[in-house]
Amino acid sequence: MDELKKIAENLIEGEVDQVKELIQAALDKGIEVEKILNEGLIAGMTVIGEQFKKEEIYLPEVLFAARAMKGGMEILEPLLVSAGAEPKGKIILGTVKGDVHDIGKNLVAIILKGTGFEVIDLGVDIPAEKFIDAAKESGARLIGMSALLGTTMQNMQTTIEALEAAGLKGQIKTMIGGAIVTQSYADKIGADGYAPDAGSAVDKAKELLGLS
Amino acid sequence: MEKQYTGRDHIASVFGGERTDRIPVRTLQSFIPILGRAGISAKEVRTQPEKFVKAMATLYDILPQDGITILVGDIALFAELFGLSFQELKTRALEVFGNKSSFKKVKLPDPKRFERLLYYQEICHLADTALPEVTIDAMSMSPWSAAMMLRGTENLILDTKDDPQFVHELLRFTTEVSKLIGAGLMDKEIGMLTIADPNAGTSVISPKMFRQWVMPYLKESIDHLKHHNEKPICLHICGYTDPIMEDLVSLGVDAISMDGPASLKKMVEISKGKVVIEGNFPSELYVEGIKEEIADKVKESIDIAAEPNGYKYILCSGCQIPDNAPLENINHFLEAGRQYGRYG
Repeated sequence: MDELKKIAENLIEGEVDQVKELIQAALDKGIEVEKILNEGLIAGMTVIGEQFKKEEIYLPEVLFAARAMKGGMEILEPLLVSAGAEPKGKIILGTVKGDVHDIGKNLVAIILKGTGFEVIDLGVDIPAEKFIDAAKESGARLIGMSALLGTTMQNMQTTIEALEAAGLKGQIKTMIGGAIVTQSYADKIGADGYAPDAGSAVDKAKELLGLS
Repeated sequence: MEKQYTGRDHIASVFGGERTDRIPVRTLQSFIPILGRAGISAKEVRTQPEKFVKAMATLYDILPQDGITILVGDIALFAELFGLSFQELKTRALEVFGNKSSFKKVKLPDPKRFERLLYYQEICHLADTALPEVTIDAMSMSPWSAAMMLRGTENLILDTKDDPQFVHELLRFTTEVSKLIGAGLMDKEIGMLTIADPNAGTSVISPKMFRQWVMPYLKESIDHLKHHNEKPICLHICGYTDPIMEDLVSLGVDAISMDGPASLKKMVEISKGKVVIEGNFPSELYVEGIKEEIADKVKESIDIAAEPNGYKYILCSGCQIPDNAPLENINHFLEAGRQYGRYG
C-alpha cells in the first residue's frame, strides 16, 4: 500500500509533519490503525535500526526518525487505547542518579512505546529507590537503566542491590544500556539484560518479559 | 649514572623535546576517589584553589604519573556568565530562561574580572609550584560541546534540522567563550591545553554533522589558541571516532586524545607521526580488569602506537576513569606503562 510505504519513507527521513499528515490521510481513507502502526511506523523504524547497526546512519538520523515516530504515535495511541489494544508489558525507564544524559533512554522509550509497551519514563538523575518505588506502584516487571558516564554507571549496581535488598530481584528484572556499558559489566553487576542500542533494547525487553 | 627524567620531561619529549627513556603515562580522572585520603571535601575543591591543588598532589602521591589534568568546570564558568546557579545550568541554561535565544543578551566578560576563570588560573599557578615534576594539563570545552551543554544534546541535534540559523548563532557565542577561556588558561603555567569535545564523536553525531557543525568553529578556536602562544594543544573526543579521524588530524592540533571505543591502529595509520596520539585505555578495564589483563592491554597499546607513530604517544585512559575503579588497578596500569614503555 502506497500510503503506508510513504509513511515509512518519511519516518526514515525524519519528516515529522509529513508523517503526521500521511497518517491522518491514511486514517481518513479507512486504513486500520494497527496496519498503519505496523506497516508504516514500525516498518520505518525497523529500517532505521538496521541502517544504524550497519553504521550507514548515526544517532542524529535515529533521533529525527524517532521524533517522527513519536509524532505519529500521538495520533495513533489514543485510537489504539480506545480500540482496547492491551500493552505488551509495562517498563520503568530512567537515567541513573548523577547522570543527565537522556538521548539513548528517550530513543528506547519511543521505540518501546511504538512496539506496544507501556513505558513509565522517570527521566534523568534517578536514585535507586525511585526506580523500585515506580516498579512496585505500577506493577512493572522490568526496569531499564541508562548511563553515559563511567562516573555514574555504578549507580546501576546500586539499584540492583537495592532491588535484591527489597527481595524483588527476579520478580522485577533489570536491563541496562548506554555508551559506557558493556555485556560484561551487566554480568558483573547482576543485571538481567544488556542492550547495545535502542533496537536491541526492544528485543531484550521482549525476551526478559517472556514475549519473544 | 642514568639520568632521572621527570613527568614534564617525558611529556615534553613527545612534543619535540629531548628524548627520554620511556613513553609518558597518565590518566584522566576525577578527585572523588581520593578526597577522603586528602581530608578535603568536594565543596572545598570547588571553591578553594589551594584545596584543589592539594587534591592534585594527593592524587599524584597515590597514583604517580607524568601529567595531571585540571578538569576546568565549564558548568561553573557558564553559570557565572548566565547568572545562574550550578543546578540550574545543569538542567540546560536555555530552557531555564524559557527562551532559546536568551544567550544573545549575555556579554563576553572581561577575562580579568571573570571570577571563575580567575579561580582556575590560580589553580594552574599553584599547581605549577606544588607539582614541579608533573605536566599540568588544563582541560576546557569546545564550542560544540559547550553549545550542547547550554541547549541540551537532543535539542541541539534537532535544532540543526529545524533552526540552523539559531545553531550558528549559538556556536558563534560559544566559540568566543571557548577562545577566551582557552587563552586565559594558556596564559598561566600549564604544560598543555586540552580542548574537550565530548559530544562531537560519532557515538553522538554523524560524520556529516561533525564536518558541517563542529569543525568550522572548532578550527577557528584552535587557530586562535595556536596563535595565542606555543603551548601544545590536545583535542579530546569521547566515544567512537573512527569515521572522522582524518578530519581530526586535519584540525592542526598537536595531540589527539582518543577514547576506548576508537581504533588506535587506525589513528596511527592516519597520523603517520604527524600528531601525538594519547589514549585510549578502555575505562571498563580499570573497573573490571585483573592485573594481567591490564598489563596485556597496556602492552598491546604501546606496540600499536609508540614506535609506529614515531614515539609520539602518551599512554592514557581513553576517558575519565570511573570513580568506582579500584585504585590498585589504576596503579597496575601506570606501572605497566612505565615498564613496557621503556625504549629499547
